[in-house]
Parts: sequence; C-alpha cells; structure tokens
Amino acid sequence: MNLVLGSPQLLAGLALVAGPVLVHLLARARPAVRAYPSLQLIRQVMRRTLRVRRPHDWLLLAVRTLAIAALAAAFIRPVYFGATPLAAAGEKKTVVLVIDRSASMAATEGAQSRFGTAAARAIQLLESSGGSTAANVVWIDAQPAGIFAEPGPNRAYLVDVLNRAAAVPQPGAAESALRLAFEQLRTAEGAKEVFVLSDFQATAWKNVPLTPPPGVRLVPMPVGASDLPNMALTDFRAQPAAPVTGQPMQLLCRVRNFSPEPRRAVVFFEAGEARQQRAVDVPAWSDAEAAVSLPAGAPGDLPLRASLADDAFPGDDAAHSLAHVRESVRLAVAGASTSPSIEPLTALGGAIPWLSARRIEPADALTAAADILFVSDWDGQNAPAFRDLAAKGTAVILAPKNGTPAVALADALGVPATPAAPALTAEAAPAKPWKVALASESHPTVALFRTGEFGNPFAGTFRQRLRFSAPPAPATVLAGFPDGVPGLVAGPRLADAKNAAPLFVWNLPLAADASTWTQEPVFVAFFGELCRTSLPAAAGVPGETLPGTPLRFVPGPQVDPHDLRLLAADGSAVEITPPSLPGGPFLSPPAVPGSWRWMARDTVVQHAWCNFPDGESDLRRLDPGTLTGATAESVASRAAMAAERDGWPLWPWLALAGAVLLWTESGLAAFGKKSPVPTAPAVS
Amino acid sequence: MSKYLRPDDLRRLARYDIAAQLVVEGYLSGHRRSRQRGSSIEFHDYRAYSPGDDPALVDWRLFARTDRPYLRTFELETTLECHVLVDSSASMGFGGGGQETKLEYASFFAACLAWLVVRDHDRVSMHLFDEKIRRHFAPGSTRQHLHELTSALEANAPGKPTNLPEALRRVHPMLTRRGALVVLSDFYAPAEQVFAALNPFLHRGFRIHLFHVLSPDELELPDAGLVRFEDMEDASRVTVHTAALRDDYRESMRQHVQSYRRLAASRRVDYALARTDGSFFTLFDRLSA
Repeated sequence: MNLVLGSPQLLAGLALVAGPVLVHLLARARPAVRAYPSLQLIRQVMRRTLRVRRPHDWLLLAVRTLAIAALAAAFIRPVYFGATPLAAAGEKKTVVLVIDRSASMAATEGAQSRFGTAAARAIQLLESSGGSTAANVVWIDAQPAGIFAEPGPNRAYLVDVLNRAAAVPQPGAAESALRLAFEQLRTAEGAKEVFVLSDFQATAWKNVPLTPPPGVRLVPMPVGASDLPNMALTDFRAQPAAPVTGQPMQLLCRVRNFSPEPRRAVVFFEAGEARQQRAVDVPAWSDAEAAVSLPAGAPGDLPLRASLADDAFPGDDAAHSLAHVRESVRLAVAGASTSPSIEPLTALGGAIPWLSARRIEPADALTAAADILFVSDWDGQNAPAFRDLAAKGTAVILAPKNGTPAVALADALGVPATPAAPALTAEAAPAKPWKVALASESHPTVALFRTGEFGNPFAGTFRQRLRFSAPPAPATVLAGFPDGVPGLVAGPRLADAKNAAPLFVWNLPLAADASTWTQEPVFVAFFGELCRTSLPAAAGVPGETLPGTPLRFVPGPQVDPHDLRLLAADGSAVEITPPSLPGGPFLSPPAVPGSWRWMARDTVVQHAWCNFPDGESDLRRLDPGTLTGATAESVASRAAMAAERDGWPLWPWLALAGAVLLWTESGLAAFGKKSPVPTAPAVS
Repeated sequence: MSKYLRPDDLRRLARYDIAAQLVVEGYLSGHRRSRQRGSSIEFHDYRAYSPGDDPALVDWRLFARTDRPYLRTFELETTLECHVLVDSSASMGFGGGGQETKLEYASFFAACLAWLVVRDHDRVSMHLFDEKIRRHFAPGSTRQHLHELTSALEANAPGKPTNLPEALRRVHPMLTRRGALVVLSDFYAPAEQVFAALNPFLHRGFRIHLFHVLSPDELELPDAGLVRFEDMEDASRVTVHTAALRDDYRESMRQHVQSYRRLAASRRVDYALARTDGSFFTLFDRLSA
C-alpha cells in the first residue's frame, strides 16, 4: 500500500490516543469522600461485579481510543496512492490525451456539452502534469489526428487549442485514434500514460479493445452522467428522386426515437418554397416513417429539407436531400424510321404533356440519353447491356422480332432460360383477332387498372404477335393472350439497386395493321402510367457528402474556375481550396450537416449536402463497468482523477470516522448508565 | 446522672427483668439461693478437681493426705455476673445519616444493662476494646462501680482498628467466673474467627449474647452516586458508583449477617441484629423474653 503523510510533523499527535485511556482511568477522579466503617464488603462486591461489567468498559475504552486515533491521524493528512499510481507531477512522463470530439460529444448535459466537460478535464490534466511532461492530444473523429506529430513540452499550446475546440458532426474512429496514441508513445521516455476522454458511446465503442501495449498506462475517463434521450431524422429521400415537373412527389424520412419512452414528433418538410408538416408517433427505441406529398415544381434541382423541433441534441434534427425535377420524361424509340412502332410512340409525346418522345437509331440505343428506351424489332443482341441499363435507372422496353432467341429473352429479363426453347415466331390471328387481358393486378405498372375503373388497358384487338412461352418467375406477365402467350412481361426489379428501372419484354404490336390498340383512348393512359411507374423511385441524385469529408467539385469546360464559389444555405461564402493538379477537384473544409451550392457567377452549377452521421444519434454509453483498462472514473469526479495522480486524501474519511466513533461513545456511555441493575432483598 | 442513663430510659428499664436470660447454670453467684455447689462460707462437700477449677479452692491438706486434689464446695448465694464487651474500634464511630454513632448506641445499651444488673445487686464487668483491651473493669455491683462504668463510657471514643477475635482471647482469662457475656460490636470480622474465639467461653459455660450493631447505611448502602469511600479503620479508599453496587452489596451484607446468625444458632449463642435507627430497648425486650 502506498501511503504518504501530508503533515508528518504532527505524527506526535498520535500520542493523544493515550488521552482516552487516562480519561477512562481517571473518570472517577475526585468524587465526594465519605467515611465508611469498613470497605471489606464493598471490595468483595467490586471484585465480583467488575468482572461482569468489564466488557462494556473495554468496549468504551476501545471506541474512545479509536476516535482519538482517527482524529489525530486526520491531522497528519495521510494520502493513499493505490497499488499502481500514476506518475507524480514531478516525474518524467509522456502523456497522450485521446479526446473524443465526434458528433455525440456535442450532446448537452447540464450547463455544457460532453465535449466541453472533456476539454475542461483535459486542460486540468495538462496543467497538473508537471514540468517534466511531454504531452499531445489525439482527436477521435472521422480522421483521427494529433495536434502535434508527437508529444512535446508545449502544453500551453494544447491548452489553447482545447479552449477553442468544439465537437464536430462526424463519426469517431476510436480504434484508429487509440492506435495513433499508442504509436506516439512507442519511443517516448519516462512513464507513458494515455487518457481517453470520451462518452464511450455504445454504438462506437462496443467492439473497441482498451488494451494498451506493455508499459503504457491507459485510463478511460467516461464523460457524461447519463444516457441522454434523443430523436433523430435519417434516410430522407424523395420518391421519385427525379420527378417530372407537376408530378406528385413524396418526401419521406425516418424518425428514430433513442429514448425509453414513446414520443410524438412533428416533422417539418421543405421543398423549395413549399412547406408541410407531419406528426408521427414513435415507440421507444424504435423508428417510424413520416411522409408528405408535394407536387414537383419547376424543372431543376430542388433542395429538400426535413427537420424536427430541437431537442437536447440538435445536430441530428435536420436532414437534407435533393430532388432533380425534370421538365419531361424522355422516351427514346430505337428503331428504323420505317418501323411501324415509331409513329404511335413518337405521337405520345404530343398526347402526354410531360413526355418527350424521339426516334433514335438502333445503334444508339445503349448510349442515348433517355429515361425510357423502347427498342423496336429487337433481335436479341446485347441483352446483358440492356439489363445493366435498366439497373442504372433507364427503363427498357424490348420489343423482339421474329426469330429472336428465347434465351436472349430470358437473359434480358434475368430469369433462367429453357435451353431447348425455340426462337420467337411471328404469327397472325387465325380468324378472329386476339384480345389481350390484364394478367397481373399487383404490378405497379398496371395497378391503376386493377379496379377496372379505367377499363382494360389493353383494349382493342391484335392480329399479329410473337409466339413464345411465358418466362418463369421472377418475371411477371402483365398482359396475356387468351392462349397464354404473354403480351407484356416485366422483369424483376433489382432489390439492391436503389436507382434501378424496370425492363419489359413487349409483345403488343403497335402497327395499325397489327392491332387496333393504339386507336383506343386507353392506350395513351396506359403508356403514360407505364412511363410514370418506370421512373426510378429512390434518390439517385449525386451531391451527398459524408460528414468529415470535404465537398468536391470538378468544374466542366463551361465553368470558369475563377468564377467558382461555394455558398452555404444562408448565402455565406465557404472557403474552398483550388485543385493541386490540373483537372482536380475544388475542395471545401470537412463537411458538416447542411446544404451548399457551388456557384459559377450567379448560376448554381451543383448542389451539395451532408447529413448527420447515423451512428452518432444513439447517445447511450457503454456501461462503465465493461470498460477494460486501468481505472474507469467519471470525469465529473475530479477527486477521483486527482487521487490517481495525487493520491486519495484520507483525512476527510478519518475525520468522519472519528465523529462517528465519538457519537458511538456517547451512546455507549449513556447505555452503561441506564443498564438495569438487578435488585436484591433488604437485610433484616 | 450519666449521659447514657437518661431518666426516661431508667423509668422504662424498671419494668425489665433480664435475670432469667442472663442467669447461667453452673457457677451461679448472687442473691439467688441455689443448691449448686460453689464457694461460700458454708462448707458443703468435697469434690474431685477438674481442669479449670480455681486452684485456691483445692484443699491442700486433703491433698497431702491422699495425694489427690479435691475441692471444698460451699453452698453459694447465687449472684449474676454479667460481662459486657463494647467494641470501641474506629468503625464504631460511624453514624450515617446524622444518626447516633454505633458506639453511642452500644454505650446507651451497655450503660442501661449495667444499671439493670446493679439494680438487682448483681455484678457487672465491662471491657472496652478495639484491637486490644483498652479499658477493663472487674465485676462489681455497687453504685460507685456503675458510676465508674458509665464515666468510662462517656469518655470512650472510637479508637483503632478492630480485632474482635483477639480481644475475646485477651478477655477470656480476665473473666474468672462464668456468667453472661454480652458483646456489642459491628462484627466485621469473619464469623468463623469470632466463634472460634468464643469457643472457650462456651466451653466454660458462659451464656453469650451477641448484638450486631449496624447503621442503616451499612445495611443498605445509600445511593450517593459516584463516591470515594474511606475506611474508618485503615484509611484506605475506594471509588465506586453506589448505584452499580448497591444491590450486590446488600446481598453480601445479608449473607454476612446470616453467617453470624447461622453459627450462633448452631452454638446456642443468642444473636440479634441491632439497627441504630431503632431503639435499643428492643434488645432488652429480647433479653427479658
């Protein structure tokens, strides 16, 4: 045990313990003197009864002696240092303070944030470390780094940086920060100490080992006294991400409740000038989705914002996104100019206001800029390329021709092929033309016609078609001939591709001599619905930046770099760094949650936004008892930290013990007086 | 008139006849005629000598003739001899609670007893003792003798420490005739030792009366809190909290008194506890019972 006496010169005061012994022995000094004939019987009685009462007297003596000893010991101020104390202030040592400044450290508890508390404690550690200390600070954030490259004596600068620092809305790479700290101590001299000041957020720290290398003392110092309740917005998006002007657009976001009680949240949605709000009830430790529907406005990039009323942790109460409103849906019809499908499809551009249709050469099918590609008279070539095109967001409609291999069909749809399946064969209706009926009611493309309110989307008659077998699941036959020949087949939508568009196989001839369908009014309605539902639902608009990484912009040939500016949402300019190499990107400082605009003169050339890191919203901390390492202590307890370096002062405990013993002594003394004495009969 | 012979007391004493309790068979002397053999002017007979007999009564002429000792016995007038031993040690000076001291109490009784004996023309002797015999008065029956006794009592003061067994041993040879032995003491000696010292008297046929004189404070040990007691005989001190000891002390005192009572009963010795807070006439009531 390491025990140091703060006032050893008062050690002689321990002689005071003799006091209670003397008092005890002299307790009966100077009572009244009375003559008595003979003390013979009195002495007999005393010899007999004192044996009985002695235990009480001994206990009283022991309590008095201990009380005086405790009070006397308090004056000599012993200090206990524990089994393996930290290096004292005067010892040569190297100290690295690993300070968490990730987003969760911005949470406010009481008068200041967790980071503020950690910084104050770090300053205290630096100022009390002694003149022989080399120190450094390593930040825990998205890109851990030290203030200095290695520990040094300039602690004043570290204190200055700590006074000006703040938490950053970034995730924290704790393990990397610790590795960096240990690396900095590898060649250090003297005692080596690492102090980790963090809220030890459970989501960030649960798998991080706190095992220092040999010779390094690691002291975790949890910050924050409680698991703060919090609500956060995540996964904010528009559906569709690229609507057509005037098209209803749904704004959705997920509201997460990190608290032990269910809560009601009001989410405010902003899309340009349009605003709406939605209330949502979120169960404890769960999430719920809030959604509003807004019409897509004028064509162009539409910044979107969702927000909550501020709580104790406001950093994650806002989310940003962007919708790219298109003027129209671009339909490209790939086929020869003489193809009979060209005219009815290009005529749709005039019938549907938001649809622009044009013919392109078949060779340009894979490269044309289009939202929907209709490949007329498809011969089965490039099936994987068309499937890939659909996966990237362009809806593809393949209208095969006579002789197209069935394998190509299966390949395009992404379904297993029947090896011996014959090629598609053109055939004409024998006598009576065919009628095509709806074969699926759940597919989004035909869902509008499920109830029959809008009639049969495939009204009319068909005299020609291609014969082939219905492809296996997961392909879906949306429309079919009475004898089972598929008329319209939809391929499976790629579940792991947010921006994927559907791919169809089209077996509904559009030529006037092949069908009367295009003459039916419902043809326009059906094709409009097909185009609408074929647009990608998820946000695929570029521009989102992860927090902690800089915003990037590579100006194209039409942008003069000298005119380039970066503006924040409030219009203030943000300093940008020009590219170090020609053709390289312009960079901003590490991004924080919010939205920005890259401007070339007065024109917005690109929107950018950054959302709060998801993992930093759950403010629950690891149980301090699970922290491995030397000592888990609350930063709020300065005495605990001071004890590690300066020892535990024992005098308050000794004084308290002395007071308790004195109180016990008075009770014992009173008890002794009140003890009932057995009565004896009178002498006669 | 003596301090210890108050007129009221004497008027009260006139009613008492204590001779029956004090008369001793064997050597009887006084105005009570007895056919018991003894020494007087009228020759009665010879008897063989027994150890303890007065050698002066041996007929030496007959011894010369027979070579055997014989005593001449005479027809005696019975005269009561009462021997009073008054403990005058330091402890007898204890009064307690402002009452008369034990010595005063004993002196009152001794004086009145002497007056009764002299009134009946019997003889009374008195011995004042502590660790030894301080004053000794041979038996007498005259008023002058009574005056000397009462004067000695008045002049008596508590003296040195008690040694009752030793005092009894010293008194024994002084008492040439058996009679009544009245001992007035606080009897702080162990009962066995005292009765061992009384054995010679019992053997000689004394009628023994022990009056255990104690004050109420000695019997009860009053609750006086924390007290330093000083022994009146050896000046030693002890500090006690009387409340803590009282009940045990009373029990010890009771056992001490019982030890005397038990031994007295077994030896046919009359024993009585004389509380100084009571009248000494209760002792005469006992003697005249």
